[in-house]
Amino acid sequence: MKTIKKTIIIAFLFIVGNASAQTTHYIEVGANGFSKDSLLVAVNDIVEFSLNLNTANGIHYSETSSVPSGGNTWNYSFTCSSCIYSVVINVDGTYLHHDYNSGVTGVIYTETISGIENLNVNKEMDNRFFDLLGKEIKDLNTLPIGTFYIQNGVKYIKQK
Amino acid sequence: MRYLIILLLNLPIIGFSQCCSPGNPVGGSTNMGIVPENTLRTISYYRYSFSDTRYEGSEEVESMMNLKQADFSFFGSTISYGLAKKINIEAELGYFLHKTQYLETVLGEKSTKTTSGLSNLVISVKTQLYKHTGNEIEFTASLGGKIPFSQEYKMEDDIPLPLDIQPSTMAYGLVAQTFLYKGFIKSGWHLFLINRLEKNGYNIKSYRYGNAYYSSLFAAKSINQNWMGILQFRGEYKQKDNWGEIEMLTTGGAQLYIAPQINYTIAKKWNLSVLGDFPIYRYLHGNQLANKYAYSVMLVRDF
Repeated sequence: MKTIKKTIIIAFLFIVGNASAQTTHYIEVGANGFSKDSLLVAVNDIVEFSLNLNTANGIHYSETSSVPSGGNTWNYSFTCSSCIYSVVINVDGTYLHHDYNSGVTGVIYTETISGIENLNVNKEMDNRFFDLLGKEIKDLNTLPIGTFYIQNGVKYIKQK
Repeated sequence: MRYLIILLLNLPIIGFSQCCSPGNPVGGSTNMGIVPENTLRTISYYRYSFSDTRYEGSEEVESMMNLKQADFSFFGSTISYGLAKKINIEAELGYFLHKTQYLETVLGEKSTKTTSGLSNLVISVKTQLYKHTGNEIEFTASLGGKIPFSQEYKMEDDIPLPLDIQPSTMAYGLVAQTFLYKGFIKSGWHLFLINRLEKNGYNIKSYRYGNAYYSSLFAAKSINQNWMGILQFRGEYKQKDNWGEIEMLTTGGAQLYIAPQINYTIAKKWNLSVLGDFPIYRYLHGNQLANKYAYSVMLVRDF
């Protein structure tokens, strides 16, 4: 009986702990794109989108162009100042979203490896380029400006 | 006219569809006719408005947007002075005690955004263009300028608060108004037709609130020396807002209201009026939070 009670209490504390760990992140969109081009989140975090009134120059957007398998997609149009939306990041992975007005793509991503500690990873430092889905980019010059890529385990935005 | 008829002309720029656009909720202008020469008339009013339903076109809809409810409290004043026999000068101004939006995320996390502050000042010149006492017909027109009390956003943590809850339009504009009265002295009925145009300019952020047109038909009936009942039908049309050259799709639309009102005269000097404002038809562009009801209390005094 004591063991059952203990298990229930531990499970309860685990749930409370997880619930309190949930974070809301805020992203504004305007003429310069997203206020956070690259945002690290955890699963079950909320991302709230709104218009950046200081830089908006008309209607702006946040539409997903790529999400991990089973991940939430969204297609938001900011056609008024009170058009505020939120989405839950429901699975691990990388979410790309695009604003057609500014032409900027933003990335929202999670640490894809979770629940494992003290893992020794041998990173390959061979200077190859990869996109956010892990596909190798043979020629970096073919990549559009403003696109994210990964080299030696570090994420970059192509500037020019 | 035998009676001082207070028309609580809730023409509110703020009463419009988006639940709380900036500007004065014009609380009324007494009988909308001319104040006698060298007479000062003050109108003070309080207005509360609440919105919690969303409309897309003329249909009530659900929405993914976080904004679930909005309300505001406004204290306003209209001051008229008789410059000459047929010319008045009039000032409308007011203060938002609060303008609040209630938001909720997809996981039920709630938050609010709120502002308060002075709205716009409207200075108008009003003139009586026609009056026939025997036939009880009067026609008055006014033209004025709208002056913002502020040209800067209200901020929270250095981030501008939504445009819908900014207390001022932050832009100059024009206000034109006409007033047509026809009385039926034997039956005790009074009819009024009031049209108002509000033209907004661009603010320093290149944003322009849509122009608004209001048309109100009032039917007033004297009950006795002190009491008067008034029924108002009002149509409102607001154009879409613009950000630069681009129209903001989820703004503007048309609405019809019915507004019952009761007036009471105290000691032949004070006039107290109470009004309820209820929408009976809406057609809103995009998906907007629509006004559900509003009420106003107004006090008028001539000096």
